[in-house]
Amino acid sequence: MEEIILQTLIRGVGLPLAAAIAVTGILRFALGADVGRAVAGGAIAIAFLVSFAAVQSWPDFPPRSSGQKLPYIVLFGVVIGLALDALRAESFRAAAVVVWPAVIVGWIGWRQLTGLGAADLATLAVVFAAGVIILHRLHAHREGPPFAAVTILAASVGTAAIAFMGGAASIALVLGILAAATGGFLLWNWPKPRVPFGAAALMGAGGAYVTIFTTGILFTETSRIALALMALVFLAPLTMRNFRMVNRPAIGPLVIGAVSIVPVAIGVAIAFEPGGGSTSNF
Amino acid sequence: MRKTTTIIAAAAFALPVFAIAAPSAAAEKFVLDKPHTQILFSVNRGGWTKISGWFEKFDGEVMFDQADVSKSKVTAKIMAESVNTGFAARDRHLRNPDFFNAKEFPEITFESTSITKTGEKTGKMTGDLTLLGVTKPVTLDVTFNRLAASRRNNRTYAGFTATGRINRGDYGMGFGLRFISPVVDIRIEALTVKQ
Repeated sequence: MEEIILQTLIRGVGLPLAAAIAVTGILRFALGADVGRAVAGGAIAIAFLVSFAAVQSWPDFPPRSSGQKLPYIVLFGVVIGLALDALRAESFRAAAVVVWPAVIVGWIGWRQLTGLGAADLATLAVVFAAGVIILHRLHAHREGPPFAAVTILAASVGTAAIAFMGGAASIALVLGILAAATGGFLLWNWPKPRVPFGAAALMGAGGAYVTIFTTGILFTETSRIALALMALVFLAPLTMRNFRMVNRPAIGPLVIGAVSIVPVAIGVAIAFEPGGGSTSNF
Repeated sequence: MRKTTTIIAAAAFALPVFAIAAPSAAAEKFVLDKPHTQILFSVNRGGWTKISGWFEKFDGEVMFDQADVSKSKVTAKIMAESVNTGFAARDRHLRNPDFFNAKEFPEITFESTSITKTGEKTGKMTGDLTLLGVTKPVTLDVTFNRLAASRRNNRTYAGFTATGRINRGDYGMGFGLRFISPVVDIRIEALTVKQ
């Protein structure tokens, strides 16, 4: 079983990486220096969706489970985001930081929401707040060094490891896809930033992470503390804002990546169970 | 008395029956006797072995029409988080979204829609099985084992065995289909007690 999972992970990394590299370039150059540059960040979500459909089957609409809702959230997010990017609708992009996590958490956790249990509502409120913080920090780094993509990459890898150890292999797989797609986008932006992390990236890729984060907290048996630590990854650029070298295009992303490893390592250590074996044991 | 009820039950199975959804007015309510009921499943793993498991928490009742079993009705509810295969790490994986997704879909339910007789003590029960939020019809082969009063407490018990098969992929449980068979065999050993 471990071999199957590893094979799937490999397929889930190579395809999104290649797709993100290709789609970023196509959008950037096919649509011109103005519109093309504005919308090319949507490549992360597009590569994610293509890979998701290739590795897993595309779910029927309406989706029932949170895992089935994920591709639809990313699809709706990237379509809306591409429109906002193309129209330069800056105020709507800022509003998405609050509205999009509300939509995601409300849809994923509607049973808990409508159940009106105090513990469930408190959990949803915390997850919503985390979603707003995550998207706010991603939106803050839409231009300049690609800190938004670096933090999504680091958080996805860390959350995938935690989910895998917690017996949620399918969540680890989609996080692997997200990390690889983000990696393909990053290659266009390092060592020199070329493409902004616009609304399509925010609502598509950021929305994907918030959806998976919400699913992990609500519906898996992975460590909630370890998962919560992954939200701190998105604060890494904030903690390093007074260090000048962070603003250097080539070095900055590497520094942020290195700082992001701290909460990831702590989270993985918390989730690690000595002698726990593989995720499956099936 | 015990002999009489057994004869009535046996006669009921011998009668021509018609598939209907609602229980008749003559139906008597039996509920699952949990300590003596097992809801079992098994699935082929890579062609090497079959892994078996069971559910520890469930509820169910049978509106049992002894005169015409086709007018009987069965409902059951299983708590997905109670899945047990005798290996804790695997059970945790089974509770996660890869399989039963027990936190998002805590209940597995079954409601019979028709019961037809196929032999003296056998029948086919078709019903709606809801798993992971997906409802599909499933047909179980049912054997009526025994209806009798217990010497211990003088209460009337009815015992049934039901077997069937589902395709877990039909319900969206698609994890590891290349390695873990989509076909899941089900076996229910149900003891019910008259209310």
